[in-house]
Amino acid sequence: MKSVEEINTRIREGRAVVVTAAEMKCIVETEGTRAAAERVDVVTTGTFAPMCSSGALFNIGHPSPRIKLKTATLNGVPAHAGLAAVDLFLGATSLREGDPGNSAGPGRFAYGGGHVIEDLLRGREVELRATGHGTDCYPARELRTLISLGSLTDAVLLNPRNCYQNYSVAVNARSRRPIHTYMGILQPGPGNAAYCSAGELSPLLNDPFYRTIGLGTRIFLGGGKGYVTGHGTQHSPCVARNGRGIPLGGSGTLSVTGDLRGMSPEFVRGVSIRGYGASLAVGIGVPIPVLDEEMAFFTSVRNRDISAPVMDYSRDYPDRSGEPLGHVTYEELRSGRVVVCGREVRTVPLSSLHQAGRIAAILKDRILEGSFLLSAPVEPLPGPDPGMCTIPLSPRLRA
Amino acid sequence: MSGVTKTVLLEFPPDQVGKPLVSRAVRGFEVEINILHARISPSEVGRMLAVVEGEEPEVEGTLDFLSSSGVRIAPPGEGLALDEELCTHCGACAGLCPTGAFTVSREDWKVALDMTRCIACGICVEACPYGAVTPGGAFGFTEAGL
Repeated sequence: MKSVEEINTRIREGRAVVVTAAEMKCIVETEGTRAAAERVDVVTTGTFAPMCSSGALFNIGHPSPRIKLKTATLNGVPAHAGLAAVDLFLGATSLREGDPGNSAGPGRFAYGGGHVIEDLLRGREVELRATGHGTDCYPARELRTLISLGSLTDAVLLNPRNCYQNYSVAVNARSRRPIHTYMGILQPGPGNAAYCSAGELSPLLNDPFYRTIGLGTRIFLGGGKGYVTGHGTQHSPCVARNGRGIPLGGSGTLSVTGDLRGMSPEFVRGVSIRGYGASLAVGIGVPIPVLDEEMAFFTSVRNRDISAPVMDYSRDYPDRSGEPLGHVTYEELRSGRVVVCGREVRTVPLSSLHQAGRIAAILKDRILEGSFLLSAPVEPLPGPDPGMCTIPLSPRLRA
Repeated sequence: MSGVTKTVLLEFPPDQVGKPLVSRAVRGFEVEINILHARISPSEVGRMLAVVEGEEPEVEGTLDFLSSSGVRIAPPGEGLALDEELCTHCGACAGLCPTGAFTVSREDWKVALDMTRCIACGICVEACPYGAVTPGGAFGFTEAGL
């Protein structure tokens, strides 16, 4: 049994044993959980994929004369100005004004909030156009200026839901034409199966009951440093689990935040999903302290131990109906082919395993060099016990 | 004289799309033409990836005939460009590529592109969320034409 503080002491003294999640699988396989728990202090995880519930909070600084922002666009992408005078929230999926959307076939959604965030990280100037009410204290009614990451008082990545713990596999089981979804192009037949998780490298799949990840956990976020601020929206820890505690579908989520300065466009990327919309791909790495033998066991999870439900995105998902067409493991998904409805189909990954591996390796290096210390959660994430689950919406109107 | 096999990308201008040029080529020359992939619509630029097989003078004659008929000819693998800087190696392209031109290494999970297998169908351009695959090269593909 080790504490996070003991592990931090070992990191400071240069004695900590830090391994990536990929390395941990092999260590536990050859040495067993007990020896691995004694030897290894930290396991680094990683994931990189489009995560739509993301955005950035800016304070643009006060101009003279002052303005209370009423409307604002950044490179033509609307940002939310319903905050204090010069605070703005830019959502990753906010779309440039005038984008044709899907009006002439599946749209390109070439530029959105995620791309603005990436542009800022690339050091590019972004045009802000804003209007104000004109008040006694904030008289300006119009503002047009170039901004850059360096010119902003604050620029913070603020993502309400990232890092899904497992996720559905999407197929087109019932339409006769290719469909365009947030899981990409799904061909009829089904002709392919899209999935989006780093599987055995993914943070929450290596700590399935959130023993070490909670509010206050310091993480690798977009190439810089960030923090878990609690459970993400739609956190559903009560999803059924297998014998190892791995949820059998999308379940836990994280809300995260971190200073955009210090992040890298390598790990924060604007995304255009044909026929669906714009988004942001985010790289996240969570260090998991190997507190005891149980954590060694959890971090030894393999792709074959993780299965995901196959969902029809042509009718069932849009209608919020239907049952999974089956379950497949990440080992099968990573092989490139899975069997769905008795038919072998190709798999299409949306989560970059290459990037996930890099993130886990970079985080490992940062911990080893002493520039990244672990933090114990201030509050744990809600686990399966409290019965937290998503509440479907049944629209209703005033009588 | 020995036989040769040439894989070529053919671009048919809109005013030539309605003419049976491939048929005329096969009738006029001692060649076999194997069409691997084609995207032909009336009044639009048509594109075709084809293998032309026969004795060298016959193959050359076929290509000269097509060229003199207004068909642009390019070696395969010039229909697309992969920007390594923009690629995140997610593999979405590889999961949809019909010919296996895009592959994901099981060593480091990096995406690789073998342009000799590319038939310029363009599904990778649609599938890439990062704009890393763009139409381009010899034909100057416009996205609308894909």
